[in-house]
Amino acid sequence: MQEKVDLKKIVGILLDFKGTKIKDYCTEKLNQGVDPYDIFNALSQGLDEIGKGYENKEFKRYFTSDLMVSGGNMKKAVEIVRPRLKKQVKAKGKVIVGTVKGDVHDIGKAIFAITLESNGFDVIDLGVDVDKELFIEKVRAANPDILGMSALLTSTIYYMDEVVKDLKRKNLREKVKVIIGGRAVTEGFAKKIEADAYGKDTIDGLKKCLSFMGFQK
Amino acid sequence: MPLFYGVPKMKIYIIYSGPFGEQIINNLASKGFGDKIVNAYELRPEKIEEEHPSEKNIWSKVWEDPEKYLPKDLPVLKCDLLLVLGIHSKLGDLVPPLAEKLGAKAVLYPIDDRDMAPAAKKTVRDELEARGIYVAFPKPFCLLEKSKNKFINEFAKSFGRPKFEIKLDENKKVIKEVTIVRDSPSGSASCASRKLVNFPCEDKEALVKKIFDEHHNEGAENYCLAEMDPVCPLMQEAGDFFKDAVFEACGFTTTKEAILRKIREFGEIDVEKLKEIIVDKPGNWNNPEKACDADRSFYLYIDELVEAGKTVKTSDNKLKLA
Repeated sequence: MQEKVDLKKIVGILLDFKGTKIKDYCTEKLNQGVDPYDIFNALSQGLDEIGKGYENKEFKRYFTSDLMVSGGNMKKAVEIVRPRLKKQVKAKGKVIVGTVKGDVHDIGKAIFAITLESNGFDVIDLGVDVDKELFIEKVRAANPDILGMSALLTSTIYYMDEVVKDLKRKNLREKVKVIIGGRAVTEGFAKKIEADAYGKDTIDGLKKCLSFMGFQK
Repeated sequence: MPLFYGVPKMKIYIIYSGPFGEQIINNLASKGFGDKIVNAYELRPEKIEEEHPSEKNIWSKVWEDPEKYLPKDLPVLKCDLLLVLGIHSKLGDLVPPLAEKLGAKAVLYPIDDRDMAPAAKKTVRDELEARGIYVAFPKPFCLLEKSKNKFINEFAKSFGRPKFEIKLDENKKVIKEVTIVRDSPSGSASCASRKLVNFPCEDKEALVKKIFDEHHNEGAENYCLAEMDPVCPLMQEAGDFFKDAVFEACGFTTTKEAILRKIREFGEIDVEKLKEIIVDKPGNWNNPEKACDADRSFYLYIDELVEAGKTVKTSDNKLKLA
């Protein structure tokens, strides 16, 4: 049975800039036999709490630095927990994700990838600084249902447009749904480059991917 | 034995919140400032709310009577310099009475995120000055280079705008050794500069890319936690300071030198036109004329060049050599 989440404690763990508390927490929970999905869910709730505190317009409780540190710790947790996640028998869909060329920010994309995985998707993570040639090559070879691109820097989002145009040129655009996200991306930009969806955050991105595959969340 | 002029052993009290503050405290303590820190106290809005549970709309009252809302469990230890790191903007009103209580002679209140700026910055400054306490609000923290206040100046000898000594190999093709003269307060400059050792420096575009990648590297041990919003790209500005510190130490053309070179070339040039050349688009380092990544860094460098008497700004916003 899933234990009650101590949000205050989880938030404290996620905001530890040294990243030792998150390692201790994940290791301890895994050793206690806690289901990796429950660990991930508890941490996701903490991350959500920080996100809500950041977005609270009346009284902002958390800052950009809190988002960055908690995101970094979530990534560390993903690395520890991921090997223990059990694969679902039949995947809901196949997704290729990557941070576009010129951008080396990994955290948001990595969290999106693990969110998809923990919700039954097969995910191929191409990493960061991914050029259009690699995106095209992998889309052609792996035949994914969805391509997810991330960018944190305003200077790199335009590369997403190049990838979408290249997909069209190579006659691959109709075979794959394109979702984009990341701090620098907006819904308007997604429309402008004719992406199929914009993921405001990982949960929103997950909902859009489920919707592409005919599932509701 | 080092000679001190007026600041034998400065006492620093730190009020902080969250990982932004913790990272700086950790860096100061690990770089020889541990024995100067008399206390570090975490101050969050929740603390004040918990101490006054029956009060409604507490945040509309704090500014009227801040003394009443000072945290009750705050250890009072006398200090020379009060460092305020990343506390909530609504807690800024508490800083003047708090600094007075701690006997601080100066307050260093960096703003690495617009949300960290005190809601009433001018009032905070006025209230501190009325108490005879000097205050500086460096934005971002790693802009700090020197101050007319002796305590802040003492701090800025070790932490603030990055400064390095760099040795290249005999052919000047590879960075061989980096010595930190002044680290950024977060420690990102020392952390990122270590990654430059043995990196080739002949290809300036590749070097700049490496510098910015390491500076913005969220996987690093100490990384820059400044705001990176396109409207206020403090992280990119911090990256410019880091890049120019590396370039200066390597003997390469810094942004200021690039600015002076262009002014010399044009004879007289409009500030905005020069900005288009020197800043270009953020992240676009393919352009060899580009020298810095943030508009704010460019304007700051212009101000510093004017102040240093290297260039003159005309009434119609043009620049020419002095």
